[in-house]
Amino acid sequence: MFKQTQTERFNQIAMPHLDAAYNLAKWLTRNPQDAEDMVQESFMKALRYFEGFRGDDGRAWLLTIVRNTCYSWLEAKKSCPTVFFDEDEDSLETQMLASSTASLTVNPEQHLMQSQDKALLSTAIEALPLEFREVLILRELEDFSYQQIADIIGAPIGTVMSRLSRARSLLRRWLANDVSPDYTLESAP
Amino acid sequence: MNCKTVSEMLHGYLDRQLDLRSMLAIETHLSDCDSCRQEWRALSKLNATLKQGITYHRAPEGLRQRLKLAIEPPRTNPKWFGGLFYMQNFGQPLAGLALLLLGFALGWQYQPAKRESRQTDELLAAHVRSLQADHLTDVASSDQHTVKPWFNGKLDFAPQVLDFTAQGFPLVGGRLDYLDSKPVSALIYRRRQHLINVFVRPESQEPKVAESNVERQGFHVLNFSAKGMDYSLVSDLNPQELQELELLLKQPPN
Repeated sequence: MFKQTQTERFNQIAMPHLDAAYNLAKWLTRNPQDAEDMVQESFMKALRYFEGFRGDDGRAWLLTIVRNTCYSWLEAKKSCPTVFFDEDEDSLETQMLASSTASLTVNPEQHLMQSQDKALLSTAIEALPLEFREVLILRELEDFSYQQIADIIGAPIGTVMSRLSRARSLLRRWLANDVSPDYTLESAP
Repeated sequence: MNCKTVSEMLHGYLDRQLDLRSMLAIETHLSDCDSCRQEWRALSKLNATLKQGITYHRAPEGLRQRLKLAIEPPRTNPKWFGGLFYMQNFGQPLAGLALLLLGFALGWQYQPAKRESRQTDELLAAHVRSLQADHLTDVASSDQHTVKPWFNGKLDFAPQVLDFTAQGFPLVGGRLDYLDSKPVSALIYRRRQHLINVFVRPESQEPKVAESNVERQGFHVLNFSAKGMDYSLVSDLNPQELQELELLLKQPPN
């Protein structure tokens, strides 16, 4: 009698999400070679833990491993940009809102659509704090629900919502002013 | 609901992540309040820019090959099936595919699964196989007039092939596949970076399967009938957008 081996099950459940795994790793590490290393390490971990996997969402499960692997590595490397945003501070929010409302009149999004400047957008996203970048990628590129993102990053759903709205507000400001993200980042309080 | 509450919840509204009551409350507020409506328009524009503007980094082929080897190392003293996998790594995906099919066939024979559940398994397997074995399309074209004639003579029915690029579902191509040991046409559409396999075959005479919308292993399967055909949509795309494609497929061609 044919018995499906663990490896075949792994090939069915994890392998189809290789692109998603690499995409997340690339956005978190911001370097193609590091991203490959992270994915390889994550898949080896996934294979080791696979016996314990009982869920039915292989993509969320795999991306949780990729995310945690990248975080440990970035921490060890100390290259992870420190987050200077206080999640509970209101002043930054007010300032961002004020600035984004002001930019509305010039229709920044249309400007970007016309220029088709994917590179500018990539630079802006890579300059986002890690915590903001990951929720943005998981939402915009992977279409995960807030609840799924909360499970993957191990944070409450409210945190997911506020990080996502901050990430978008920051991007909107940067794109509107058409300035270097680094400049904006440094001039932020 | 006041403007401050609405502005806090606008992202949740945009992402369709709020409960129905909040969604309706915000909708009502937006129809009454000019400044919030303006903010909402700006946000959805930004969101559209992000969704199509952010680069999706696909895994390099070298990485894929390395992982395959790491997961399934070639055996020095291969048994017959080990040998097949060994060959698969060196460019003979057909042997691997045949083995996989044999595996599924034998697996099912011993598995007293319900018909619908088995059909879901079969659809998922076909979808995954199409992504794995580098055999997504037999005919790769976004032109419906290239894809449709390609099926002539290969099937005893003529599937409707339409391109929905304008509606955000560009046609990628077509493929011949097998479901329930019958040849079926598989049409491939893309939504952003998500691939959607649309399996089309003549409407089954047997009673309809119960599972019309299933989620499994991170994939969604949507079954429905239209214009005398049975459709099954399989993708990792969210169910809401899959339903958009369902509506498009159900529309009469102009």
